[in-house]
Amino acid sequence: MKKFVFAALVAVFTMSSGFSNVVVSTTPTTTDGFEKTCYYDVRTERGERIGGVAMLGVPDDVDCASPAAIRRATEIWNGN
Amino acid sequence: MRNCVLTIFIGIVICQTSFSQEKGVLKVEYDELVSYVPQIVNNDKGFLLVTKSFSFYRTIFDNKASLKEIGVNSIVINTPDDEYFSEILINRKKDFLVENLFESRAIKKYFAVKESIPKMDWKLVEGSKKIGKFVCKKAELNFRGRFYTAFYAEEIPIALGPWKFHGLPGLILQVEDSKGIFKWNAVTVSYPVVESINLEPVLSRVKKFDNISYKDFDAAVIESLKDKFRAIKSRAANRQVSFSTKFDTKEWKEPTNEWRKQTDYSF
Repeated sequence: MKKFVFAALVAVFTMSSGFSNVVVSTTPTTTDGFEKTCYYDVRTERGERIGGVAMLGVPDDVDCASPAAIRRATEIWNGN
Repeated sequence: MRNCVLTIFIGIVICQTSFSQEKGVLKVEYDELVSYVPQIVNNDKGFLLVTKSFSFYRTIFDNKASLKEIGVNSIVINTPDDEYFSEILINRKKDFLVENLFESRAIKKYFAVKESIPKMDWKLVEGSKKIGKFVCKKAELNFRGRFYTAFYAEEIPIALGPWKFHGLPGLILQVEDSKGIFKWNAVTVSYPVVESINLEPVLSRVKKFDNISYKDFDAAVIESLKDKFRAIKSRAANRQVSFSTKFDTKEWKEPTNEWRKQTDYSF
């Protein structure tokens, strides 16, 4: 149920943008030793990468794969 | 004057007829497997029709893969089917290639993208394999940012293959890029064929779509993507979190070309 609600939420964010054909998927998060970075690929439904969003300076306790983090990245991508 | 106009019109019709109605020589159906991420294999179909002067290749896109998730925390959004369109017409006598396509990354329009038949410097290498009833020889190619390995059948002396591939001493029955993203496998080969092939619908689409050179098209797509990413940056500028966005051309069928070597763009 939780997963479904999250899916619906991100779908709404994604569909509300000009990028109606995008998927935001998590890829391994990187840290440069000083600050945590959450990186997300943006892909079409066929899987082709059309871009990426990196959130810089994320607090250490944030899980990049968490719904909240992904929602934030999706908002950035959508310009909300 | 009227006679002159009539003569020109008849000339055009004859040209059109002889251009659009051609006797077929070869028909091949390919499985076109496209896999950007391991979880999704797009099983597209490719159809190659060859006449004495022309070759025509049309991709029928498989959008069933769009129903699948591509990993943890990912959402799949449907895209209109008409946003996937590609057909390639090659006029071998006039050294001319046109791809009718829908540009879905940024511009969202149909184009007829024209270029001279691109040079493909194949390297014939040791190795062979049997594909169907054909014994095929191996060849390798570096082309527009990808490294391909192909197998071709000398038994079918037609220097063509799927997509834009050409220039081997036999029909290409299998070709794959080294990243494992693009792979074409011949499924059926009809050779020789005697039926007429009507290219008129293809030619009418060339007329209907925006005509542009390959070089200008590539530059226009890159510029349009840059604008799109600049807009994302500016729209989200007031957010509390610092961020960066980027795009790259590494998963494109032609990541680089004769006019552009840059693949990564950051904002």
